[in-house]
Amino acid sequence: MADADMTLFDEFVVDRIASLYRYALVLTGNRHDAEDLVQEALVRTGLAWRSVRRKDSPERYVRTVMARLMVNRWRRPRRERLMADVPDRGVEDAELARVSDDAVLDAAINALPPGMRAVLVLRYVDQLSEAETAAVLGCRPGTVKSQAARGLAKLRVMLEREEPTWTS
Amino acid sequence: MDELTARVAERLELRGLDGAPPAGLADRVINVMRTRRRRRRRGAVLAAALAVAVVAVPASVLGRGAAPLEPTQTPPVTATGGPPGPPLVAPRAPEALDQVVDRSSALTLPVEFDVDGQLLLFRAEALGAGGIVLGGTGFDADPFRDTDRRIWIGLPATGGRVPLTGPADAWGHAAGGTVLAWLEHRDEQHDYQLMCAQLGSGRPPVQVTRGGVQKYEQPVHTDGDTIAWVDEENAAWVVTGCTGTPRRLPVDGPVVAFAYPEAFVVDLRSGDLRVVDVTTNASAPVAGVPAGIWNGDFTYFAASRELLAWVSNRTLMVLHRRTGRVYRSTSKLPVSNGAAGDRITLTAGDRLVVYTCRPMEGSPETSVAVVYDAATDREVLLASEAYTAGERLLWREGPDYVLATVRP
Repeated sequence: MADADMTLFDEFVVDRIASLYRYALVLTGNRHDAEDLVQEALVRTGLAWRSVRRKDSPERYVRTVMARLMVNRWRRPRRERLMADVPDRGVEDAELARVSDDAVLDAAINALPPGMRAVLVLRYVDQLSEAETAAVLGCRPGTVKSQAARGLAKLRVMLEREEPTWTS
Repeated sequence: MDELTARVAERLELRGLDGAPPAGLADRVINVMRTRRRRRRRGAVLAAALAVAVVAVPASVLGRGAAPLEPTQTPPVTATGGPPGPPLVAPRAPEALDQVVDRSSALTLPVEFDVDGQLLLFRAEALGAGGIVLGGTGFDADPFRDTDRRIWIGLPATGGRVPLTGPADAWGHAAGGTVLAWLEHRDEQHDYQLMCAQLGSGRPPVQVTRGGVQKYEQPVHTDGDTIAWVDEENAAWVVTGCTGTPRRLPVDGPVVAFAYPEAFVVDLRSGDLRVVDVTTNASAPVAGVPAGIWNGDFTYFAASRELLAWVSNRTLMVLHRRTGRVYRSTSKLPVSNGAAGDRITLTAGDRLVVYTCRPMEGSPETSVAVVYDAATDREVLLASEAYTAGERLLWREGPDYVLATVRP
């Protein structure tokens, strides 16, 4: 890579790292994995920078790399999972109930396989169509459809299972 | 968008509002990228030097192999592509391999072959103990466009290829003595299902089960005529032949290595490795392997009757199964730094363990391999991919794959 190219890449990293890191947080759900993901995606982008910088949106390219990394490389099962365990619920409180519901949903999302989570992000956060999501991930639209449906179904089941039992 | 979908979108979006990047992350990214770039250049120079050495060998030096290898079984179909005539002696590779393999036994399988005027590039995926190479074409295209791949049997004994499938979304290849197995996307109910071809049967490949297979890095293993795998619910299974009745093993978890009759299964609750005798269902922890060895999908295993190997944190460990001695590599294993990611493969034979790291995009220039010789405790570094099975070693040398027998 020529020095000028390298300078452009460095500037791109400095300019866009905050936005890309936030997207990595959306995909991974925790800061440690987000840091690893954004670093890996940016390094790969840097190695291919000569061709990437000719594209309309290098940032979109990095996001695509992150989504694909989630699907292809970040599929290890986790032995530790973030749980939404809220002990000692003694009072009925609408605000507390809402916060607890959100925590349960967050934990349920974290428990999904990374690839399934990536599909949900692309479909419902980025609001891509099934065909566009499939193009990003390099799979069939049918796979996107089934992964999204199965992801939502799993979330429903997990939410029902984690339904809090209130004491009076 | 229904209520749940809207809530999911909202919770996902909120994660992104949660924080700024850690201080120094941008600098770290730039530094890591520059380091990898330097390593890539060194790898490319090494590969180029190897290619020059191969080209420099005059054609007149090439002759007949003194002891041609014969696959234990050959498919009933006619080989396609590859040069006709007797097998050729391989051009020279790194001299260090001379201590490991018998050069006079070497056979070559050209990477490029022609089918109906179309030039295809063959990529080896698995080596059977009988000398058959299971591989594919279509990997040289966009690595994420995985639907144009075809599976082929490569026959170094003839230099030819036999087609096994049409275009398929296939991966996870495993080659046993008489069965070949791989994963293929067959229906929308499952990501991937297990496929099998029985060598010498005259029958086309069959789908082994209707259920799906879990997407671990090495989800399918074969030895002899037996296949071991893990399903989508993390249950471990074995089947004898392509059409046998699958049998669930008593231990759940990913099957990470298989040397008949022993399947090595990870207990996901503890991360411990257990060995299961698939003929008796007896299971036990594996002595010599640390507790909690499983580091997710980034731990790689391979087994033969003599050796059990694993790679974790870029360190190779090899358990000599007869003596209980454990070898640990002294330096970090090399990586290929593929732009689209790396694919690591660990294979074990009677005497060798081979670690291979190659770029996922199919360009082989930066592939690297470490060949560990259990007889001498020495490692050989190759600027190419390599695989071992039984008493054989397969490696890439310029425009060819080379198959040779390991020295006794």
